[in-house]
Amino acid sequence: MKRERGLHELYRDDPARAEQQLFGRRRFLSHLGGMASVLCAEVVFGRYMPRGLIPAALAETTEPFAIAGKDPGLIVLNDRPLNAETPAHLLDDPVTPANRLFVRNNGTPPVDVDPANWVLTIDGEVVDKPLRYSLADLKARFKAYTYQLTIECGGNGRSEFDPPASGNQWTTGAVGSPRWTGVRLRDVLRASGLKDTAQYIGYYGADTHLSGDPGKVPISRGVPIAKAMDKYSLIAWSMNGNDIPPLHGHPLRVVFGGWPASTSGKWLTRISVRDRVHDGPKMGGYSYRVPCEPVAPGSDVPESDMCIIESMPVKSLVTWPKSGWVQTQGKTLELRGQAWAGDLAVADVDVSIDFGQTWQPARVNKPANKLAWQQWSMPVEFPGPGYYEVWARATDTSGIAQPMVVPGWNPKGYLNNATHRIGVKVV
Amino acid sequence: MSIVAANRAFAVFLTLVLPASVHADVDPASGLEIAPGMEVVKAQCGACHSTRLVTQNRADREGWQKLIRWMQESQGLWPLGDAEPAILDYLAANYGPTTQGRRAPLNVTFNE
Repeated sequence: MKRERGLHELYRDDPARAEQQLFGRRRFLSHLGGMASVLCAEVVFGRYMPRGLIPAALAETTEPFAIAGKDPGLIVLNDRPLNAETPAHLLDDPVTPANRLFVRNNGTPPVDVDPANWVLTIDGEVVDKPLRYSLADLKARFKAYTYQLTIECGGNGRSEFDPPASGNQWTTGAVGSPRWTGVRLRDVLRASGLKDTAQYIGYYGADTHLSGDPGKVPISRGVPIAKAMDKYSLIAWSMNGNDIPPLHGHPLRVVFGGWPASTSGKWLTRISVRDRVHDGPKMGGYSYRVPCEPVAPGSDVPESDMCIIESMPVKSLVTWPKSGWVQTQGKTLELRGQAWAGDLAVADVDVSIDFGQTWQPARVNKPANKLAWQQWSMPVEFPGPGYYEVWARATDTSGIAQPMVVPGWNPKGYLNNATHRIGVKVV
Repeated sequence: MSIVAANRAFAVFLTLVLPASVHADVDPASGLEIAPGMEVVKAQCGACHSTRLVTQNRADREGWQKLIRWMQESQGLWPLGDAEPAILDYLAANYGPTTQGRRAPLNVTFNE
């Protein structure tokens, strides 16, 4: 039986074929001609658009936008580059499934990835001779480890800053905690002849710059050598027991739990071991950096006064119920959520149903391993009918707690770890 | 089920896009506010990134100009020439800063 199928449905079910249907067999080169005639305008960088993404100029209809392999509840902030966040109630799983992990891309993901011929190069000032590893080499030469590691975009919560900060306006959903399998970065670095002069590592990936300029690297960030040598820092090929999905870095990526997710480079092709702070694109300027000293909201901060974000701050979410819950008076509501604390663990989660006047301790699970997020839960009974807000506040093992208002303003809107709030009506 | 043929898919696309606007003041293809300067913003900004990156941001004229300079210095944006004042006027007028204080009220829809 034949029936008409909308653009989004075509793309969701079979992106490559949808593109063929719309633009002809040679997918991207023919986009140029195809889209130009549709839009009456030249599509300058059309040939660099990744397979599976609906061309933006065509996609922006009032139809819901779905990403192949993703929960339709994800909120798409931007479709070129693709950025999508997960509403809090869809982060309820103890281990984040692939279809509910946020997507943050800086460039255009590679197409036609061939894992059998993938090469990871280790080079840099402190590596005498660059080393090359195939995926098979990595798996054969080094022991594999599996850890649950929480990754959160440095800009998660950006939408709350005032004055507004530019960039994707993440609310609370640019975080997740899947299980990753791979080799320890430190084992690979040691085998590559690590020296005392090593200061930092920087990654490079196979994604391409949005401008289409093949000479431009979209993003190349990294971590200081101490974080690189941490036993939980992985070069991973698997997520939740399967190949890492294409949007999340297939076939290889680094994963640095607890640090801005931009350090966990995707589509990994090269790791440079540096004798200085890595200086790839988005390491400097205002990218992933905050004022070294606190500043008044809206301040003009010189680049020289900006410092690189390292461990992310303590934070939590209420993942059950969904905001907007209507509760029957006299019944117990079982609240639950997630909490995480960068390089540290979460010691306590407290919950308030009276706008922060009183707080009750929640039960907090131990993490599956270091750098995994922790589940919290608490039964609550509301004193009477009316409008309530449930606020959750986590405290890390050093005694630092989440603020109830948006913390220190910074030019690019990073590190907002203000308490999550949901609305509940009791009837 | 077989996917419809190319011309058929194209017809589907047209029916989706052309009458899609439910918001009278917004361009259905780009999501941009319909106002003088929209076409130039759509063409210049939408060439590299989604116009959603425009519509979700807020800044004054100076803030938008800073962003343009940043894109020119680091992201390969070309000189905008005479188009720049028109782009800045449009962005400042339609996507100017909003004030939400240190914490905005929750926006809750109850499932009643």
